[in-house]
Amino acid sequence: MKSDMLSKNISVVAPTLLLAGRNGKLICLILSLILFSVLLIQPKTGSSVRLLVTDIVSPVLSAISSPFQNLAATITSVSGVAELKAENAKLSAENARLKEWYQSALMLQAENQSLHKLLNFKIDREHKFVTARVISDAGNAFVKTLLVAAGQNEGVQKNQAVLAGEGMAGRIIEAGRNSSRILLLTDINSRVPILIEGTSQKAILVGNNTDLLELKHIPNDAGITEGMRVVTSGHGGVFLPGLPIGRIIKSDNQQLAVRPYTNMNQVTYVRVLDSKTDTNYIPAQQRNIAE
Amino acid sequence: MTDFFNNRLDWLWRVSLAQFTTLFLFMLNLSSFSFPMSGPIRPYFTLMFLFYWSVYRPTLISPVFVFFLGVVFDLVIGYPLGLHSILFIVFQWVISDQRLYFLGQSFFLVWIGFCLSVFCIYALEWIFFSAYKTMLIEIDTLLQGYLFTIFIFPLTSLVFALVHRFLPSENKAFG
Repeated sequence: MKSDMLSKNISVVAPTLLLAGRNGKLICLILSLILFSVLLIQPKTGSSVRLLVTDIVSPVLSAISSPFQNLAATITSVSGVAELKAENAKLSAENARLKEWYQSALMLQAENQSLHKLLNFKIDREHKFVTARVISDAGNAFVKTLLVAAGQNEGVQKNQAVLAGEGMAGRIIEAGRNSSRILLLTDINSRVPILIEGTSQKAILVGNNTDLLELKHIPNDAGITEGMRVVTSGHGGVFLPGLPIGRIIKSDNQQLAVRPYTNMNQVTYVRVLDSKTDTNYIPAQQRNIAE
Repeated sequence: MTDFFNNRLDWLWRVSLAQFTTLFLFMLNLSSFSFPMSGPIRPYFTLMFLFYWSVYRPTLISPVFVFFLGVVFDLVIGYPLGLHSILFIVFQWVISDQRLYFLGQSFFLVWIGFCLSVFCIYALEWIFFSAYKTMLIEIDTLLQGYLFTIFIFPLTSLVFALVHRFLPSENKAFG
């Protein structure tokens, strides 16, 4: 009877022990090393698996992250009551200043419209965009990517620009069916062609895994000063021109850098711009042919 | 016969509770949320449960399970695939080899052990990514994440200890 029970237990336990003991650890470690080596040499091999897994996991992540995001937002808002008074005074002053700017903007808009008419250019419709919630982020200093709950089913495609808050946050690098991965501007692999407003100076904006962005290929005598706005140049055809990115500042080592308008650490929702169907300007010649 | 099934069911739900807690913390590690006033910094929950169960119940989390946790971790976060399978398996291996030492110690010494072992994982990650990206990754954020992880460990250990009390004893593992 005892030996019967023992053999039964052994038959159940044996496969478990095989993978739970030292042998199992060694087998799994070797398997991991093989996987790591192969995909380090050929990183694109695993991209379809990555998309499949993120699609499967995204509903769970979405369900888990939502209450925690709400809870964090509630706690932050409650703890921030004391600061509200100072914030209110600051906002009132800012509002007065913005009203002045609003008048200026109306004047500039009218002037802009008349100039466009003069140049015989047609402004196309507003950009289309998809709003998506962030469901996963690395939360560390190594990789600056986000996972959002929108994919090909919602019209998201690779290389589309992503906006958050007041400016551009990054671009889509992988688009699954229900989820997509965003490479933030601050990631070390991010490269964006930009234009510095007020000058005709173009440059490449490079991430370095910190909160500031570096400017590359920019001459010393370009006449760039702190506070200038940085927007996408549209060169390379990946992004639309004129998307706001940030402002020029001087970093601690007195080098020119860009502080993005978007706080990459607090992105909860993003807008993915549909760049394929929206071109800002249609030259008059093309319009005449079409008509 | 009924007793056999009852025992099995009892064993199953107790083990499932522990596994569910583990998986929940793992998913929390992957999801996007931040603690108030902590910015993007999040504790490394995965290392917490790997450490705790490797010391107090090594049979609960098999190397195969750890391997798949590492794979999913890399796939979802966007790390090079296989990196965290290696790190997690080595972590589990080292800790379970030292568990007899930890079992006889006070919680304070176990905590010190956790601090040292997690530091090694952070250091290995930093070395790898600095080499992979050919630049020195800034350590401020890492240090904050590390401190957050080690200071929150006693709290999560409390949760694990409660779950641990519900687990069937190891010699009763198969009902």
